[in-house]
Formats: sequence, structure tokens, C-alpha cells
Amino acid sequence: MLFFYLIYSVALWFWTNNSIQGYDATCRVSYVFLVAGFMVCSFLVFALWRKDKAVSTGIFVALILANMGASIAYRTSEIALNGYLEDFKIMAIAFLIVYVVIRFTTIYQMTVLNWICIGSLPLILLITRFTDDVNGGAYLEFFGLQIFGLVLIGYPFVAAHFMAMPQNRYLFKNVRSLPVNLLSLLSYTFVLFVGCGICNEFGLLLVVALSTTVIFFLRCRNWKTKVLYSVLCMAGAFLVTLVASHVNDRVEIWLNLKAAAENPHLATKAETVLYLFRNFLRMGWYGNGIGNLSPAYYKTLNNDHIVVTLLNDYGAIITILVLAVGILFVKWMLYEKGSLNLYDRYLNITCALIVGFIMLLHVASNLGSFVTAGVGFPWVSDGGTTNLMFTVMLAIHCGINKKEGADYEDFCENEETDEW
Amino acid sequence: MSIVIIQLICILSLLILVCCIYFNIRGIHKESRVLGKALWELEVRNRSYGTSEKLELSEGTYFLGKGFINDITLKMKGEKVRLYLNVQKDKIYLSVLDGAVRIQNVTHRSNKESQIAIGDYDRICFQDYQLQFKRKKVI
Repeated sequence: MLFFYLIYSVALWFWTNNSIQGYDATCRVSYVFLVAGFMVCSFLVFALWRKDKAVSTGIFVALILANMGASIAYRTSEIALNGYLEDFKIMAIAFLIVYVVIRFTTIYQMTVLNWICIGSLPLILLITRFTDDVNGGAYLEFFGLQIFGLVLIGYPFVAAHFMAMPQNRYLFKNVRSLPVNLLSLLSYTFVLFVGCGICNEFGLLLVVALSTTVIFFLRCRNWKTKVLYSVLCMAGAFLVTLVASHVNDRVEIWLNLKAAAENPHLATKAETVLYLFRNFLRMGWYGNGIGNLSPAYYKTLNNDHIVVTLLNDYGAIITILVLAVGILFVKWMLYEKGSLNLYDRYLNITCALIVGFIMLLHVASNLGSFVTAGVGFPWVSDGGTTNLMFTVMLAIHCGINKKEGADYEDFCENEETDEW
Repeated sequence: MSIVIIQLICILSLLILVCCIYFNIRGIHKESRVLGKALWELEVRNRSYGTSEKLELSEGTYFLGKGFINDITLKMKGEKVRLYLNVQKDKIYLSVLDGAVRIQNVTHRSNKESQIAIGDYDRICFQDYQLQFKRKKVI
């Protein structure tokens, strides 16, 4: 695997470097430095965890995607490449810190820390909305970190905390109805929804809603409650579509692309979807060459429109392979060691769900088949906080699965005799 | 070397990497199919069939009764018995959803509000069945 990774890295670097001309020597050196950094990481992973495929495979996947991200950053601009280089350094440090904390300690399971996290997330949303100058959405920042990534870093710990609470109390004191811990998670998620609504951050709302829904369906044992929840979710989604103007616009584009293209109010937004359909055949299996897609069509071609950039510049084969790598990454994230406690299991599954739903939303919105959510693809998209979040989740998964679980054996003493 | 050849090398190496990742992940998923740490062992004995089976339970909730909708399915004749087991680290909480069970010579009838704490080696009897829970020990 290491051998083919090295070939892939060198080939992609050579391909990108030869396709994009006109950059100064500093930028070219930065790109070499970045690719070399990925290679050093791959050697380290190979040396440390060669036999432990449950850990090394996921890190290799992250490096493959990061390599593609560096190539797209290089084809976008010198600033984007330097930004990616800086992000890579932070991601590497964050991975090490989170991995060590999760692998060797249990402080992240402490109730006090979890309650601090529970309190912080809605506060972050509120404080950011009233202190940041921008209109809202994914560009809102809290101390230089985008709220989308920041809230999603904390959310798995919140979900794990609620799900690992002893399930002794039930709504209406009836064991068939909703357990209090699950009700608490749903209520908390609703508070986050309000925060997301205030911040106009509907991408975050969608990811949190989808992840919570899966956790709810996994944990809730009463089908009547599940049906009621589904109805409430649909009603909520309908209400948001009516109330939030830009969500309404996106739904209109989704429902009738042709009519949206003729509507002066929606034409610009619909153009990004139309461009893909009009030029799909021209893109072909091998693409139009790196650097071909113009930022005039896609201002966010290196973050929100990765699939379109890949299809246009790198071709359908590379796009399919990158998507396959992404799907395999989610499958890898869903693996869990048998000896995990309930907290770690839910922490792991929430991370996997978040990564999976972000990928799904990204691909769906790029292909015009879903509400355009404006979320990035893991490590391929340019986005410091979002990539930091994916790295933290990668480190959480690796740390959990390398944890020394307490061994259990049958308690055979005082075995009683057969007696009826 | 032309860009086309480099592009093909890139595609081929990525394709091989995808295959390697796929087989690695298939391997690790095969290794462990156990969900969660098994904390308790449930032994189910049936007097009329003369059978005995053991199950491992991790933290979570389980329905036990007749029919495929339950997590633990038992063949039963006569009065319908359905139990709700809330498995936790130190204790198991049992609720009788349908029918009646006998625990340590005390009969508990259907009550969705009641949660009966079950400890090590407590026996639950109903119809021809006897259930016994054993807590696994941490070494």
C-alpha cells in the first residue's frame, strides 16, 4: 500500500505541476514540501502501525484525499496552496494531541468536561452571531475558527455523553416510551437548531439533524415514537423551507432547474448546477486538464464544488475513485472494537455519521440532486476548520480502536447447581 | 514523459489503492462482529425441551419474548410473556411488559412502570423457562 501511495503522490504532483504554469519558485517549493510532508506521514504510519490495519488504513485514506486536496489547492491559486500548507501543519499537530488524549486517557469521558462542552456549543453559536460582522452561514468565525467545524468537533462528545448515561428514567415513567437520556439529546439538538437558525448556518443544522436522527433510530425501541419523530422532522423541514429564504431558493432550484434558470432571482444560483449538466459529456473519462475550470463559473471550486472540479479537470475516473475512497473511509470509521464501552461506541458512531453525511451532502449538492448545502469534501476541499474537524474525528477513531480495553472473562466462581 | 502517461499512472495507482483499502477494510470488519463489550451472560433453560443456551449481553436494551420482533426470541405456549431488559454495567433492570414472571419466589405481573433490579444469579422463571444472569468479571 505504501509503495502505491508513493507512486500516486509522485504521479499526481508531476501531473499537477506540469499542468499549471506561471507560479514562482516559492509556490512550487511549497507544493513539493506539502507532498513530501504527506510522504513522511505515510512512512511514519507504515513504520508504527503496519500490522494494525484497523488504524493504518484510515490514515492512508486521509493522506490520499489530502494529496488530492493539495493538487486542487495548487491549481486554484498560490494563496490557496499556502493556506493548505499551513492547515496541514495544524492538522498534523491536532491529530497527535487528540490521538494521545483518546488513546492513553479517559479525561474526555469526564462528566464535567462533557457538560462544559454541552454548554459551550449553543453559546458559541450565539456569541458568534452577535460579534461577527458577516451575514451568517458557514463564514461565521469564533476566534478564527468556522462555527461549522467547531460545533461538529464538540457534538460527538455531547451525543456520547447523553447516550452513555444510565437509562433508568423514561417519559411518563413507562419503559416503552422515550428514555430521558434520548429525550435530552433531542432537546439539546433542538437548542442547536435554534442557534443554527440564528446564524443562518443550515449546512450545520442538516448534518446535526441527520446524525441525531440515525442515533435516535438506533436507540429508540418504540415504533410509535419513531413515527412521531419522523412526522415532526418532516414538518420542521417544511417550516424551515418556508421561513428561510435562501433554503427556499435552493429547494426551488432543486425542484425545477429549468424554471429556476429563467428566473432572474435564481439564475445565478442555478447556473452552477446547469454548467455541470451542459458540460458533462465534454468532461469525459479523463477530464479537460488540471486548471481548466474557471472560477467565473464556480467561485468555490476548491471547497464547495470539489466534485465538479474533479469531473471537469481530472475526469470521471478519478472522481469515481475519489468518491470510492470516501465511501470506504466511512465504512472504516464504522468499524469498532468489541471491547469498547458505551461512551466510546457512541463517540465513534457519531463521528462516522457526521463524516458520512457531510460527504453525502457534498456530492448530492454538487450533482444538483439535493438542496445545495455548501459543505466541503473531507481533506480534498480547502477549509481549515472543516479539515481540522475531519482530522480530529480520524484521531478519535484511531485512539479509540488502539485503546487497551479491560479484558473480561467468565465469572465462574460460586456457580450454583441446577435447581428449579 | 507526457502528461497522458503520468495521468494513467496516477489513475492506476489510485485504483490499486482503492482495491487495497477495500480488502483491508473487509478484513478488519470480519475480525470483529461483536457490538460492544459483553458485560453479562444470560443462560436460558427450558424444562420441557431440556435445552440450555447461553447469550452474551452488552450495555443496552433488549426485548425478550415470542416472535421475530424481539431481540431474544423464545418458543412459547400458553400465556404471552414479553420482557424488557435494560442491561447496565452493574445491574439489569427488568420490566414485565406482558404476562407474569417469578423472581426469587415473588410473582411480578405486567407493569410498564416497574423496573425490577436483577443481580448476579437471580433466577427468572415463567412457563417452562428459567433465565439466569451472570455478570462477567473484569480482571
